[in-house]
Amino acid sequence: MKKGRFFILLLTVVLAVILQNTGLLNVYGIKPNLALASLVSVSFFAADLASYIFLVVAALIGLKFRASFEVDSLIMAGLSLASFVMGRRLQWKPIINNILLIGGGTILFYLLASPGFIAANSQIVIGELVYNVVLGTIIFKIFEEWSHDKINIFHN
Amino acid sequence: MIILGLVGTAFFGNFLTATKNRLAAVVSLTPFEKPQTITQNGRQVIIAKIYSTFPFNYRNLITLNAGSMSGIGLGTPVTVDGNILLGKVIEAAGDYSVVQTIFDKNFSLPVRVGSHQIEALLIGAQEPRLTLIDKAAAVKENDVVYSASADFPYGMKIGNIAEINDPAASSFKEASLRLDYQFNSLKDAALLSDWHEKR
Repeated sequence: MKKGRFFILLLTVVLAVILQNTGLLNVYGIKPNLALASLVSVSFFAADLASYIFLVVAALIGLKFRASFEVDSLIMAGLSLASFVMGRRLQWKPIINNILLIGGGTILFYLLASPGFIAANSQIVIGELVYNVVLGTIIFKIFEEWSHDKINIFHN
Repeated sequence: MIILGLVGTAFFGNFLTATKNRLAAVVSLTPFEKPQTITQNGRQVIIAKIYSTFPFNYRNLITLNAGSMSGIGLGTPVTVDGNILLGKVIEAAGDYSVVQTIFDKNFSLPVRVGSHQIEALLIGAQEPRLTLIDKAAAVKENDVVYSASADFPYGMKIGNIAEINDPAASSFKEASLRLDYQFNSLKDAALLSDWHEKR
């Protein structure tokens, strides 16, 4: 059962990364950070940190744009692992935690990767934030329904 | 034991050779798709496939399946169809290159507008725009915008003026661009591989 769940989470992350690389979800020039949204959402359903790290590494390999080191990969890894820890510590409902972590993660990503971009392109950042939260919430709800029982994050 | 080992090795070797021969009979390798070189009217372009686009919004870069082995170098102009400017190569590896497009926030280019050759500056963004247009300049909608930088062939078309913005508080006019293509649907790009040699 755990193996089956892990492969479905892996499939979700891989599919999200592929979609992000294609630009198929580009709406009015805004591309969602589907990899971040899916990594944060699946962090609530990963059995343990080790299997989650595997998901993060799979996403980073898929997101690799060129052969050299990319700071984006480091930021994505940091944000994903932070969301895994924070999602289990925040006191609100898991779906609210998911929304807050995706929203916060989107802003933090730009603050760390390209701070000037937020000031110059605030509309794009806000648009992407909304887009990420919507997609992340859909992914979260699908997994919540699929797992049948409500998630008790403190029992993971 | 030694004899047994030698016989076993010979038998296993023969088995591998037979397997290899069987595979060789079945496998038929088709050549990999390579960038095509087209020469017309004294110009040469390399048609390359777009591998992927930068996965995040804050940069607008693309990777192509042509690199230094195909004669691509830093600064090589990249076009949509050999005539419309799309960007320039900023990184060239052996078999791929990274292109900074006109949609990238770090891209800027001196341009000229229309038949009066009015000067302006193209600023890269998701929706590229023209700035520093003289208030008195007679810029009209649909005027052609073309490159006027030494980095690219003079007069390469970029797009047309879509909308002119003339804010009272600013010393210059601004304008948005209308492009002849959909960036997201591009699958190929044409690189002016001989531009630097000619220069």
